[in-house]
Amino acid sequence: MPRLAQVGVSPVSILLQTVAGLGRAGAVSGVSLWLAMGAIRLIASRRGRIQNLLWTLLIAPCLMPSFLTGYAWARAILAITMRPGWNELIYAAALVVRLMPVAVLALYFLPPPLGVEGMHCYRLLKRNSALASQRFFFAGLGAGPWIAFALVFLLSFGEFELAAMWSLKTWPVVLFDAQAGGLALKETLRLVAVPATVQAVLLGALVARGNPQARSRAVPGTGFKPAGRVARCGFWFYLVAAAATGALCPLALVIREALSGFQALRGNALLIRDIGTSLFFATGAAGLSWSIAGFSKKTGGERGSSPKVGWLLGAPGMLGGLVLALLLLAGFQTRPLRALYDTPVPLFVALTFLLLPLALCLRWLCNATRPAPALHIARMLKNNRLVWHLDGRRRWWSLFLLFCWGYFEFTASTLLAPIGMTPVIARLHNLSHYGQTAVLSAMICAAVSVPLLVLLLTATGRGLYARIRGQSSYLETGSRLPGTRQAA
Amino acid sequence: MRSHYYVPVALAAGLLIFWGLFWRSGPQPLVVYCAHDSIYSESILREFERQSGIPVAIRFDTEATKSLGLVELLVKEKDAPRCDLFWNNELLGTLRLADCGLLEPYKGSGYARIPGGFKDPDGRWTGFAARLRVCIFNTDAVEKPDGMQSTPGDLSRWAIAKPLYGTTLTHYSVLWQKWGPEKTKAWHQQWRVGGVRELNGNAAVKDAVAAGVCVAGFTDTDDFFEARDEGKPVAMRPLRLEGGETICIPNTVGLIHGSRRMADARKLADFLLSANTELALARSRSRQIPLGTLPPETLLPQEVLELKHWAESAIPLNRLGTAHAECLAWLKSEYLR
Repeated sequence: MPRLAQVGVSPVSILLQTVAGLGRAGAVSGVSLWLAMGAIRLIASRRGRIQNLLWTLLIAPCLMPSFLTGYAWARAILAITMRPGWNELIYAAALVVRLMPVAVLALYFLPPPLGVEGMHCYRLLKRNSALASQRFFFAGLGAGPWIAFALVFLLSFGEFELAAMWSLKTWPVVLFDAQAGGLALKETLRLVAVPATVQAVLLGALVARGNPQARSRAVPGTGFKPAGRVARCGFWFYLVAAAATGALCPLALVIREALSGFQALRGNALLIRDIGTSLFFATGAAGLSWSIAGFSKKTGGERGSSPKVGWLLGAPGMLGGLVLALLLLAGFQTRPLRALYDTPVPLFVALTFLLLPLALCLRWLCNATRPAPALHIARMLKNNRLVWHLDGRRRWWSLFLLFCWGYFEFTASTLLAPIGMTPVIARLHNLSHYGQTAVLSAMICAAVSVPLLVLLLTATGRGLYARIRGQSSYLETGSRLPGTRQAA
Repeated sequence: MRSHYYVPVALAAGLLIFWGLFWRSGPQPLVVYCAHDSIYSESILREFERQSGIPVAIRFDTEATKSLGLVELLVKEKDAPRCDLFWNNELLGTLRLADCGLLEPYKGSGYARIPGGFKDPDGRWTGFAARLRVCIFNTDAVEKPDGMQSTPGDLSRWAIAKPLYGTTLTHYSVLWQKWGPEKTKAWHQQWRVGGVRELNGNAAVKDAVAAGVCVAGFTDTDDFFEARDEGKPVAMRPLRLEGGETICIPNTVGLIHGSRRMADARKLADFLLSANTELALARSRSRQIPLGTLPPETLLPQEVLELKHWAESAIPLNRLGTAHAECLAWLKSEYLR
């Protein structure tokens, strides 16, 4: 009996899927970087409300949960899944739409060390040496493009949820099948060795270039050549189209479907409990990862962050939810840790590790972009309101992002949740078995609206607190400014 | 040491205390691993909870992994089981658990009412509420579905779920047992060469056929009824082997060896194997076929009666163990390298 491979039908192999994944991730990262370099020129050249609008359009697809996007487009994608070339193309395009904002953010916060004028002067000086000019050009770009490329590459290479929902064969999907198909953990880890090595090499490269603070002293968002008129129009069109396909349309489709299903949600205690479980884990993991990211910064001493410690802490999370969850599952099955197996600890640990890379990036961004002198003065004045505006607000947004990421994490949540605590995303996945229904759409709307509610409540609460404290602090400190005498 | 070093520890401790106070308070629940669709099984388990006063904690499977996810978890947890009762939506995974010595024999009142072909002679597992393996057709694309099942050629508009798990694995295992390895491999090869679409699960097959993306596919009766209830243009025929046998796949229930709540688990097993539960599942949207004896005056839906008639000619699955192991090993070698 000839094996399948001998008759021209390729079996699914991890090696093959890793190679295909590398190609896909390379293409996605390349296109994302190219688009990001254009988009950043457009964004950096605008100010005020227009810039805010551009940021909103850019970030919207990235913040949309993969599950919602996959669910909303499921019917449309169904037809495409039957055409292997097309489904690959659509999947890659979806990845670009989702991940390009990451590249833009990396570029924005890691601007080229030389401004446009500097580059121009150097070109004039080095006109006779093409090689030197080229080398300078790459040096002049700074670490931003490399880090942007590597981040998008890593995220697209390890993407699982969309691929699984759209019936694509990628290495994480094959690995998930392997695990579900009864493969021993040792065998699964052997299979994951190849893609994990690829990711480790990339991480190593990131670590090598990963001290952007030391490499780039430029102000974020500066040093970008303004885009020309045609390019501006093109990028406006792209951003609007990406926001529409990646965020607005999926949201509208789900809400439209959900309108007749909201009635069924009344008194659904189970959904409330599952949402509570997700809130519990997401809050804890976001707080823990943020604290640990802060801890790693402190180990770097007064000079700032310690990138090596940071990257070391972030490395397990970069391996992706599946590999990390499998490793933790095996770890918590060993005798010393078995007592903790059916507790929230394994999932907390998994989520914390998964959130750490993002937490480290956000911590670094917060520190790199805060207006230190103004903040110092605000703290001297003990003006909490001002401190909140200068620093607290961005930290709070970072925490909220971490919270959302943890809230919608699927793989580790499915594998490691303790008995009786089902995260809402796991339940929604389970119910999506029945296709798009009004009740499920309503449940998705309810689950997605919870982070928004958290955002609204905490923002309002914090704003009020800061306002009250800020005003009172100002009044209190008014008579105690440095150099003044306190009244007896 | 400054105060912020304590923050992670304090946060973790706080959350664990919160968990202990709010989630772990009250009596320890009976832990059920349930591979059957939550939309049908949850109400039944809650009804048991209501009637017996025994709290039940359920762990469901996700569509992507289906039953083997939980089977693998049970195998991994064998030294320190936390599950008390396993409600599987198929048989093969349960057979594997029985072979691993993870199931506790029990022959209660529910066991007695199930026919011999759908239960383990030693009482380690018992089947109930079955479904049939069927060919689903899109009636807009196929006028006469009869005879299509054996038609080779261009199969690019046929769909099947990945055979690594679920009822598609049962389908393959039955073929392996009936035809032997060589013919099954040749059949699989013929379908793949013909371009059959391998999708994530039976629900995806149903969706593809219902939407007209594929003209036909292999799925189960519960998925077919889902599509038909939504008004999709679908029809179905039971999958028949050469001898006319159908493939009837029961839900199975087994008690986990080493359970700390065995008495409660037995009560739940009897509840699940009762006529009431089978009737509830037969009258649900999934139209599961009752396997046990029912009270004479029981009225079953017409569709379920027809399914019950087809199920009478089902091939026995309780001797599939070896075929399943061999077939799965071969499939793994083809799919997971």
